[in-house]
Amino acid sequence: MGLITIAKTISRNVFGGPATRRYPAEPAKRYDLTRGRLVFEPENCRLCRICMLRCPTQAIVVERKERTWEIDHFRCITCGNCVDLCPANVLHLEPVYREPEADRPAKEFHRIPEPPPENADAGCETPGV
Amino acid sequence: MTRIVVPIGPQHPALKEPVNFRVVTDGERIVDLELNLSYSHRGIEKAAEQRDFIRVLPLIERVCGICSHSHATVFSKGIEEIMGVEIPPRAQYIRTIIAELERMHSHMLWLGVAAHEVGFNTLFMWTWRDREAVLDTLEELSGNRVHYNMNEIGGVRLDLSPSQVEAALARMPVLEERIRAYVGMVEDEETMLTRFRGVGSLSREEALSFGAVGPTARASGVDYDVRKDDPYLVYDEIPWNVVTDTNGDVYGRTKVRIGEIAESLGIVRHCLENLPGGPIRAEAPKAAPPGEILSRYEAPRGEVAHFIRTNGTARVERVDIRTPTLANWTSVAHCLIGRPLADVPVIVAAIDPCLSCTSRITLVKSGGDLGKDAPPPNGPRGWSR
Repeated sequence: MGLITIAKTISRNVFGGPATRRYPAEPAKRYDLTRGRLVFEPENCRLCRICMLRCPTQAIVVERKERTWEIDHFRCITCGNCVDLCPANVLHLEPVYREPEADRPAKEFHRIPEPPPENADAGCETPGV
Repeated sequence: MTRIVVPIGPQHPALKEPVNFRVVTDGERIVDLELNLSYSHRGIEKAAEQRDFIRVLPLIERVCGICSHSHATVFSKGIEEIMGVEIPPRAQYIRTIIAELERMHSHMLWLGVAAHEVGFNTLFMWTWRDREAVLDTLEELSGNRVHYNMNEIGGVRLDLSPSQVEAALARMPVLEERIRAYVGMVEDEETMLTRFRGVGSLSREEALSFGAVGPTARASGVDYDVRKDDPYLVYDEIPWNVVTDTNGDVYGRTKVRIGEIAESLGIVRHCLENLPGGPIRAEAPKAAPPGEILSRYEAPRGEVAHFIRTNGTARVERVDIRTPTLANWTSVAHCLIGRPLADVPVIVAAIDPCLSCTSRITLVKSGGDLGKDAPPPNGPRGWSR
């Protein structure tokens, strides 16, 4: 009885292949919701600072006057609070993990461009008057 | 007879996390034990006082890696009760699903570690391979394998789509078959039985007097499970059973934990198949009214209790976390007396110690005359945390 179990186990192990994933030949396992890395698009940022106020690790620093947005990726725990609460939807979590870094902190710095000036003549029937 | 003091830890190959035992042995037998904890103290309770309810949940979750959802849920539950917020049924079911999946992967990890402690590395590899199915399910549902960040005050952050539910249910039959294999293995495997049977025996009276909780207590016949005795989430609505045993030794605790994996699988399946519709969160105020609450939850290791005091602001004034491992250490210290030194890893592993959870610091007012309560001049013996 034991010999039959042993024989079955051996044949399953020999002919079954490894139980592990052959990374990097096979890509790493991930799903749609996997919280890999935080991506920021500076174009539509309103500098409301909600992401900074709600970050549990104070990884994001926003300076309103200087119009800068900065994150220390080593502090970021990819919790997704900033993604959920951003009113302008400029933050996203991607399923791919970040590359390794050599130094701490791993800062990503952005200068937020000024919004385009409002066109004073827009919607006016007789422009220039 | 010469007595030898063997220090085990805080750095030791047999330990996963730092803890220090000063074991006094007489030959091979342990005659006395001193336990030094709190090497993983991080100051989470103090840090939690400075964060509002949105920022504090990821912090509370990180008290422990493997029972992260336990801490997040017991904290959210406590705050919601102080605020008087009732979370919608769908959110309760989702929280239950994540909680039971967490219990499953925690117990499977434990089974592998217990087998590893006695040298049965094959079972270690097999259980951890099968555990991947549970972790994949959790990653598919929440985005992360541990630290799911699923909760917010008032409900859950993410909803479950029908495809996610289907994918989760598809993994269940294989897991069920593997659990049956483990039950068979534990009952028949002679090498495991020799190391587990009769080791670390805790009678029912001892378990009750030392305040053991969780599978450690349930293996000694103490029928205490917070999910049945102080129900929360949906545990009083769905059919499930508390697993107890009368052996009281490491073998009994193994049987209880494997039984609990099977029970949790049934609960997850039931919840996934009967998920109610509706919203996943309720409106919760920014600040909590002043109040105090002791919130309890059955974590994989036993009863975790958070004492929360709020003072009308958007932060807690005090959160005191009493984890199950902290409650179980006295029973370990008792079980080790009289056993050979080689049983230390097995008996310690049998309570499923989570040292990150355990480390809390207690400040004792000193200075002035404490009279008969004064500690001895060379420091307190036994407990020092």
